[in-house]
Amino acid sequence: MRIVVKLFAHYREGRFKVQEGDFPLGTTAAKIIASLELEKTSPLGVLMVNGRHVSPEYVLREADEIALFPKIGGG
Amino acid sequence: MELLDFLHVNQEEGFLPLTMTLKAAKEYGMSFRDVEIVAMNEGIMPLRYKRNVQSLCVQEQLTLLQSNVLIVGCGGLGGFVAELLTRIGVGNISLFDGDVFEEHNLNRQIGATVPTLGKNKAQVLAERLMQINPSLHVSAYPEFFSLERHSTLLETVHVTVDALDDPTFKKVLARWTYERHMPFVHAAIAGMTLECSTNRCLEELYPTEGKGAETLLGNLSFTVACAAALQSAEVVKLLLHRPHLDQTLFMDLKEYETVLF
Repeated sequence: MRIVVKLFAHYREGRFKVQEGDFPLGTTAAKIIASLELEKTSPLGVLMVNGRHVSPEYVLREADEIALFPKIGGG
Repeated sequence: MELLDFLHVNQEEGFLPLTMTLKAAKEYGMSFRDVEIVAMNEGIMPLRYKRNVQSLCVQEQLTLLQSNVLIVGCGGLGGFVAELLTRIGVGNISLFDGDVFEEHNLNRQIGATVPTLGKNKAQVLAERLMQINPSLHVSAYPEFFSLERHSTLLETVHVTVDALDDPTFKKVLARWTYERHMPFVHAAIAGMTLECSTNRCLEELYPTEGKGAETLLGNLSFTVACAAALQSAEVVKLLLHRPHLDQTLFMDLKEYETVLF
């Protein structure tokens, strides 16, 4: 199935801004996060699919758009 | 001469200069602040707010003077928010921070100067603010904010500002105020990225415990000033019952990209 992955802020460095990819049926948001090794860069903050907050266990569907934001907490 | 006559005689094009407020306070045995309140009730704006007019009317300026804001954390965000709210005319500010200024704060924290190194952040900011506005009532608490010890104070303020650098406590404070319908303005930064929200819980921003990207990217001066400016705008909108942010604003200053979610 085709999924659009959007990355924000420094998650883009060495990766991409937007990329469409082919993923097997049953792929979860967590699987995509792990495959991109985002949390090796910094912890994940907001996770959205089609503009809605979801949990990492969310099972993606054809044409879903997943958006991944790093967690930011400094002051 | 009665006070009202004094104010009308000494106003200049609708504005009351600082020297006249001081003179009235002395002659009529009143506080500087009370003279300003009487003046504003007469439609006379303190001259300090001349560049606020058109954007803020005299009644709104009076509302700000009589408003009460709690700023939790007096480092990067808290320092700029305290400065901006004082300059626009918020009249009661409570400041919490148990930390002292350190050399690595000089890159971004407005209260950090070489002479203030080693001094308590809340107390340093309070002194700075009082030099800006003699009408300000500022309370400095040289300790870390705790819901167990300070929840009574939280219930008396009009808006609470999250200027903490600990995502776990940010989340707890946001939830606590949300459940009690208390206005709460959040912001956080990391590198060139910032986020800001009003009256929202933070579980979706902080799904796990621990720090965020700031440990990797640090905290830059312009990012913290930008986030604090957004927070200050939200505080003023809340105090004046104007429409405010109803989503989380995420901004990347590197690409000037803004996302609302």
